[in-house]
Amino acid sequence: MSLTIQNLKKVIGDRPVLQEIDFTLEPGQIVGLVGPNGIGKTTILRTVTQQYVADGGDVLLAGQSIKAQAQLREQIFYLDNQHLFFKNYRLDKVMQVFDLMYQNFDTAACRKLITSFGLQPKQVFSSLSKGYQALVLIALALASQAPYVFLDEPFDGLDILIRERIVNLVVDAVSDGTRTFLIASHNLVELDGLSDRVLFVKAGRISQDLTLEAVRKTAVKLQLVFPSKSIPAAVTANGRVLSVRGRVIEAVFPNFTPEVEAALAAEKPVLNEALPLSLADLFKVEFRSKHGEAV
Amino acid sequence: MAGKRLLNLIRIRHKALVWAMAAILLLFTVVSVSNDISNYHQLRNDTVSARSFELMKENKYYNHAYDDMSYQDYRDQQRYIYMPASQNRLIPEKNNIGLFQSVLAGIVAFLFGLILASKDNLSGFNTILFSSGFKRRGLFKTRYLYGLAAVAVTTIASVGIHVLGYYLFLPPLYVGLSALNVLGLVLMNLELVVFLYTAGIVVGTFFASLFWMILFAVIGAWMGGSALSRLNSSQIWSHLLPATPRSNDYQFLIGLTIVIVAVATAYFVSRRLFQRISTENEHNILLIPNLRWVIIGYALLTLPYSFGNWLLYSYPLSYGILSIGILGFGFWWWYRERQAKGQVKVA
Repeated sequence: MSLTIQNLKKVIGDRPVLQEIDFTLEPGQIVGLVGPNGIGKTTILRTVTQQYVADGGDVLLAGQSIKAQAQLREQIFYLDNQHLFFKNYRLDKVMQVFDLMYQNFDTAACRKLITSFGLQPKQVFSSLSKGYQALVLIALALASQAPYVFLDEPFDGLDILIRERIVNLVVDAVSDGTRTFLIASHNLVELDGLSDRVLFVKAGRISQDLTLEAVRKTAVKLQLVFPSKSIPAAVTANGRVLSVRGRVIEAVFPNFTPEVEAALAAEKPVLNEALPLSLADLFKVEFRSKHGEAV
Repeated sequence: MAGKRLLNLIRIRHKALVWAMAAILLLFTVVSVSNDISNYHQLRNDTVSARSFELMKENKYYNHAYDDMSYQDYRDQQRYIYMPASQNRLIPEKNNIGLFQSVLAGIVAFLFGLILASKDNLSGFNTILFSSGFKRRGLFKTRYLYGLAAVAVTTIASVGIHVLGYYLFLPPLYVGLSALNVLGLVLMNLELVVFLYTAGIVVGTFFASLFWMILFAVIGAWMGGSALSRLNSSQIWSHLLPATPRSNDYQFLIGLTIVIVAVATAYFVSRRLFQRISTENEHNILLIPNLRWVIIGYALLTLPYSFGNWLLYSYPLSYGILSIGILGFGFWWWYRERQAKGQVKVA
């Protein structure tokens, strides 16, 4: 059962925030939705989940429109941090409410998870720390048994232990191949080890739909030092300079073909060393409008 | 199945509010019945005997209202204290069992509707439910009917308490009450509370903040109330319905029909519009910004009429100036929101 977002459009004011958003999610994936702040990641999640009325396009679950068939929306779990209406509820009441909202909600599993975090069902949601609130939200998402879970900046402001716990829960949930997580985030370090696939949002569109493994086969990050002080044209033409420290240049070459390799070799670099390519590097390549400057 | 789950969800969220509303309304009823009983006994105590009546007429310092009246006329005039005169009518001519809670019941019903809708609107409950498996239409319908049932049951219970109070403490009046009188009492109270409850639901559903809800509700009620009061005192009805007898029942049934049509229209239009709410407008005044033109239309309909010929006793001048002002305000509001949206930051 795949989730297909088809030509989704959203205009806010006179500004077309989303223009022809197209992508498909398959079961068993952890997908990152990546872009700078204010680019429209949350708008995508809200429009897909019908909180915003779309100005065009459709969202199809197994080929059927979730706009026309409301009951299909139960297959997508999305909790917006700005709309937590249950902040003043006790956790047992939160579970009771979600049990009514999601037909397949597993209250016993949710209770077990919440207890495993060291929380009591009689505690009030708003009295919990930010980290524990995040854990409760994840527990609700998992207990909903919705095959598609959307998380918006789930690691924001959380300490390393809570983050690790959330990552483990997400990975565990995906392991049986029936669940898919779409995680909107600018915390690229977290997503790097977590996502199988990354969608870059740019100018209201999905500008890149990358599988990190595939990218790493074609893209290379190099640390280069050339005899001359200026950056050779072979670097600026074929890659994106991330930083320049003295004569040390760090650059990413998205399409590192033998021709590019030969062009770089022709400049006789003093140092030519491959560095691990991270999601953050790809983000900079995609969203920086110009080459990095000397620091 | 989904309907039952939704009803339970609404019930869990609002049962405290329903109890609070019911407690307040029933308390008003008890206070109102107590007042009726004490007023009734006061009136009976003030009723004079034949001898006292004659003495009263002879007293030159007394007012002369009874000068041409026999004691029998006087007793007939006081008859409503002992027995309602019109048992075969919905609304007795001497309406001493009228709107037992009048304005207070209406205000409570309005606030109940407003809080019911705005609590779900402002807390994010609606937003989350828009993403859930429930239809928006179902959400609006279930919440509206749940509140309506609560308000109606409470109102009927209030009428019951009223009639019981009469039965226990004012037997002469109670035996004068007919089933038709009681039905009239129920309908009269339901008419008021259901109308104002629906108005509260509409305001709470489409305004994006409590501040704007209350501000527009107060101004809107003042404008509508002023226009209605002017309309009521005008000659327009005798022009429109010159040969029609105008008994209390007739007027009441006309009013009831108007209210039923207004409530049904408000319900169906609001339910339809609810499906078009897009939550990116939650920082505006209205969740559907174009509804501003409905507000401007309402102001155009009520405000110039309420003020009449306030400017130099000239209707064209008075209506013209006010209409231009209201339209100017509408366009300023539209322009302001348009500009703000142009600079919107997207999450």
